[in-house]
Parts: sequence; structure tokens; C-alpha cells
Amino acid sequence: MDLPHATSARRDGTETAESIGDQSDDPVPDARAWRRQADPRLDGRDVARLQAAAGQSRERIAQRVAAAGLVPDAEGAARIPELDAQRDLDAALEVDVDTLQRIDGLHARRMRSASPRERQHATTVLAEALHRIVDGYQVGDPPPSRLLRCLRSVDDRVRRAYGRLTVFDDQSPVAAWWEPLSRWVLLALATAGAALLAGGYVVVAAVLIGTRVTLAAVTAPPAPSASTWRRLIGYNPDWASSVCSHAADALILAGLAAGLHAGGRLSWAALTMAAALFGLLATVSRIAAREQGLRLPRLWIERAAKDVALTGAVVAAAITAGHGLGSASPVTLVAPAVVGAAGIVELTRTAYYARRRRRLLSRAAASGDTGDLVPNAIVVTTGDAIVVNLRRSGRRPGIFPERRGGGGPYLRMVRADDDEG
Amino acid sequence: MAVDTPTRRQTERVAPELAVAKLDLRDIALLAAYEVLTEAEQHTYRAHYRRAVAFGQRMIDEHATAPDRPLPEIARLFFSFTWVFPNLGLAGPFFAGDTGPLEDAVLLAAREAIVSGVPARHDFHARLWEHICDPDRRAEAARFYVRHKPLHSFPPSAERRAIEHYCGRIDALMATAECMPALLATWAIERNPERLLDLSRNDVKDKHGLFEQRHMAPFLGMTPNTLTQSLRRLRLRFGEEMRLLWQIEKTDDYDGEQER
Repeated sequence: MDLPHATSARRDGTETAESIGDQSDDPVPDARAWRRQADPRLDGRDVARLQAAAGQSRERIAQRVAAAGLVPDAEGAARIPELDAQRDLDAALEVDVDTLQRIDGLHARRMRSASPRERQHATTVLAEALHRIVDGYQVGDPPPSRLLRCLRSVDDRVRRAYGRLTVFDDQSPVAAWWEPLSRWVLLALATAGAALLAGGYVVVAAVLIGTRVTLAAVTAPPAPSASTWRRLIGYNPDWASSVCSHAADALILAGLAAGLHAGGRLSWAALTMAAALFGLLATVSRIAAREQGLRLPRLWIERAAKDVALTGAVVAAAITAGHGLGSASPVTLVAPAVVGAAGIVELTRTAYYARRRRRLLSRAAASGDTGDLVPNAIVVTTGDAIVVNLRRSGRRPGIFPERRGGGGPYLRMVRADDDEG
Repeated sequence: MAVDTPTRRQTERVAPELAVAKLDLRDIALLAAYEVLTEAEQHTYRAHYRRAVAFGQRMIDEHATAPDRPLPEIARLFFSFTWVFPNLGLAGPFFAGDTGPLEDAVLLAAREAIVSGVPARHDFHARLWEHICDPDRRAEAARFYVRHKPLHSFPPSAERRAIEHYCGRIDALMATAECMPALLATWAIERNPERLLDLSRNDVKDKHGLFEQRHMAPFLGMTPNTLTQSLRRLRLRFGEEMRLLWQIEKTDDYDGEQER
């Protein structure tokens, strides 16, 4: 054991903190130099200082020891979790670094880099940053009021409850059988109903459309499964369900329009057909906004209003009109009116959030120049599309020294195999 | 001619601070920190202290070379060489070469072991962790680690802009990540494997204050394996940053050739 003998273990007074270690290259100081520094003597000032420090730190250290579970009998001793997923250091690293990645820098690379690959890479990273959900505070963008948050919460709960309105369990074998079949059956029912409406068989059509709405609500499969073959062929059950649902709504309206046209109600037919096309266009625009980074899920109230309006209009037509839609009551026009209103809401919603995102992003990019506001995080919420968080930040002292090794303000190059660089 | 051949008895004698290691850890703590106790506490533990002094003196007489300092200083020297020095890897980056806080932590831990009965090693490790988590010390450590040579072995043709970008990312990673104290400390421990060599003697190996990963993990509320894996991935992360630096440079060259 290479320990110094007692005679040499004295502080000679010439060692300074800077001379202990090689501060320029090696963060770990020289061990032998430190050994010469060891001095076990205590004077009165040391004792007083240590007694004061003991009194100040006792409670804090006891808490740390107890929190670490090193005193098993102590109250509040924390048990070390076997699966410490809540302290995922890698995730913390990811969040911290990606949060601090300057958004405007990425924009600059994406827009102005001479390298197509670098532009592509920056776009990918930027897209990932835009979609990353980060919990943070909002300084540049004030948080919504309590009432608004409450309304959003209610809206979210209703949407989830409406989505889960089903008689099937997750593990039910019926659900497994019905799930891949349901969307096509519902589309077939809507197509048949539309054809019957066009042919003037309003009562049967009303029965089919009512059955479709009931089946869609009551027997909705809990979650579409992504099986291997679906992944292989790129088949997305959610996408198929969405297309089937919206196409079925448009088909029913088209059938209604055809029936009205056959019954001699030309203006009503034109109005209904226009509403069908407009509703389809609005839905497609909302879904296509996803490609631009806007995540706008379908509003539950829109789905409910369309279901009720379409079914109600057809049932009203079946009650008031015997054969054909020529003698249908004006209540039939509720369906195109509701679909048109829903379309307007969807277009307005998409435009609003696109404009808002553009404003927030431009503010984030502009803030990089002043240094006062820096983009902190981009928060994506399903209800609000996209929000940029800005935070005020003082300039942090740089970690890297301004000048190193006489190589100017930049780092000098160091070869791996060359100690001196 | 007389040959000065050491006898077996003489060769077995070791330095006094090593002979003290044969004592019970509580006795060593009593010897080292008795002066730090208040008068009332000294009165309470006077009998224990006298017994520890007697044990210590007997150990010195039987196993040590001639001491040139009193027993309490020998005990403190023992703590310096088996508790403070092995944690030099921590003391370097986090304390900027100043070992005073570590020496104080040892004496305070020994004092608490006498007064409250908490194991001195646990108290010492808690104090080390307290220092490591201190934001100022953490920033100090980050300043050291960004100078770590493997982090700055840039390719000779790397542009200044690419190097600045890389350094900015490392800067952000080192200075802001919440988990960095643990990783830096673990890194510090791993970077100084030599400190283990002096602690392999039977008398010392169960009484040293080495702050190992398995001791650090409880303070983080995690298993040691997770800490090890996190450190491994942190290094991979640095490697990935370096690889990105290379890729961007190569891509620029490739694109330049394509455009030409």
C-alpha cells in the first residue's frame, strides 16, 4: 500500500488548489499531489466550524439517509423500487436536450442549409420536436382560464366516454370477431340505406340507417388491433374506420338528395348534395391538416350531431312521406343544415389553429434574435392543436471557456492519440 | 560483517494509520472526532473514548511502526487515506481540487456516528451526495467534464461551425440535464479505478468510505444496474453526437460533389 509515512504527511503550504490537478486537460487532480496535502491536525477554529456545520446539516443529512432507505427502521424510509421506471435517466436526458434544442436553429437549417440531406434531417428533428409532448409553463402564451380548462376537461371526458360507448369487453371474443367486420357492415348498411332512399323506399331506409347508427354507437369495438399482416400491408384500421364513417355519412346525404330529386324537390336536392360534398371536403381538410403537423381529432359533438341529424331527418321523412321523398317535410333539411354547419366548424377550426401555430412559431423564431424570449418547448395537445411555450431566460454562463490553448475563441483540435494535441 | 536482515516481527509492522484499521470503525470514529464533540458530549462519551484510546495504543504498539503523532491524528489520517482519498474522483471535478469539504464530511460523519449511532459510512455518503447535488458544484464538475479529451477529439477536417454545434449540444447536455449529477459522479468514480488498489487489505476493505455506484443508487431511488446502464447510454449518446458531427460533414462533402 503506497501510503506516505508520518513524517512526510505535512502540508508544506506551497500547494494551491490550482496546482493540485491539471486543470487544463484532466478533470481528476493528481493523487500524489493531493496526498502531500493531507493534514490531520485540528485547531480551535476547525473544531468550532465543524460543530457549527454539524448542527446545521444534521437534519438535512438525516433526511437524505432516511430517504435512501439506509436506516430501515426510520419513519418515512423510502423503499427502493425494483423497477425504477419513474427515474428514467435516459428519458430525462432526451427531454432536456431536445427541449433546449433551438427551434429557430432547426428552422434555419431546414430552410437555408445548402445540403439537401441536412435539410431533410433538420425537418425530421423539427417534426419530432413539434410532436413532443412536454409539460411546461407558459410565459409567452398565458395559460387558459380555469373555466376554459374545466370546459376542456368535460369535453375530453365526454369524448372518451362517447368513444367507449360499447357493450363489448376488451377480451370479448365477439369483439375480436366483430372488429374487422364492423366498419364494412356499417358502410354496407349506409350504402343500402342510401340506395333505398334514392329509390323511394324511405321506411326501410330509415330502419337501415337507424340500425347503422345504433350499431356504430353500441357495438363499437374497443380498439382496433394491429396484427402482423396489417402492418405488413400497411393497413391502418383507424384510417379505414374513419373513411368508412365519413363516406357513409356522405352516401346517406347523397341518397337523400337523389330521393328528393326523384320526388321533384330540385332545390332541396341541390342543397342536400352540396352539403354532402361540403361536409366531405371539410372533413378531408381537417384530416389532411395532420400532414402539416396539426393534430385535430374528430369532435364528439360533430359525430353525435351528424348521427342524430341524419337519422332524424330520414325518420321524419319516413313518417311524413309514404312513398318517395316528394312529400317529405322541411324537417328533412335539418340533415344538410347540420352537416353544413359541422363543415363550417371544421374548416374554421383548422384555419384557426393553423394561423395560431404560424403566429407562435414566428414569435419563437423571432425571439431567438433578441435573446429575451427563447423557445422552451412546443406543447402538443389533442384539443388545442399546437402551442409554443416561450420562457424568459437570462444568459447562462458558458461552460466552454472563451479561449483555450491559444487557439482563438474556438476549441482547438485534439487528436485522440496525441496527448498534447 | 553484520547483515541488517529484518526479522519476521519487523516486516509485519505497518504504518500507524494502517494499524489503526484493525480497530472497530466506531472506535476509529471516536479517536478521530472526539475533539469535534461539544464538552457535554465529550463528557458523555469519555469512557468510550478512553477505551478506544487504549485499544488503539495497543494496536499501534503491536502492529505499527513508530508513530510520530498522537493517536487522534493517526485516526484522522486513516480516514483521509481510506475515506477521502478513494473519493478523489468525486472530489476533483465537483470540488475543483479542494479536498476540504470531503475532509469535513468525514469528520462530521464520524461525529454523527458517535452521537446518533448512524453508520458513519451512510452519513458520509449522504454528505457526499449532498455536495454532488449542489448546483454550484455540479456546474463546476460540468466545466471539468466538458474538457474531457475524448469529447474533443474532433476530426481534423471538421469545420468550426460543426464543432460549435457539437459543443453547444454537449454544453446543454452537461449543464442542464437533471440527472447529470448522478452520471457525472458515476463517471468520476469509474475514471479513477486506481483508488480501489489501496483498499484491498483485509483490515481496510470493510471500513473504507468509497462511494461506489451501488451506494449512490439508493440516493437516487434506483437500482445500481439502472445507474450503470444510464452511464453507458450517456457515453453512447456522446458517441452519437460525435457520429452526427461526422455525418454532417460527410454529407456536406457529398452534396458539394453532387452539386458540382
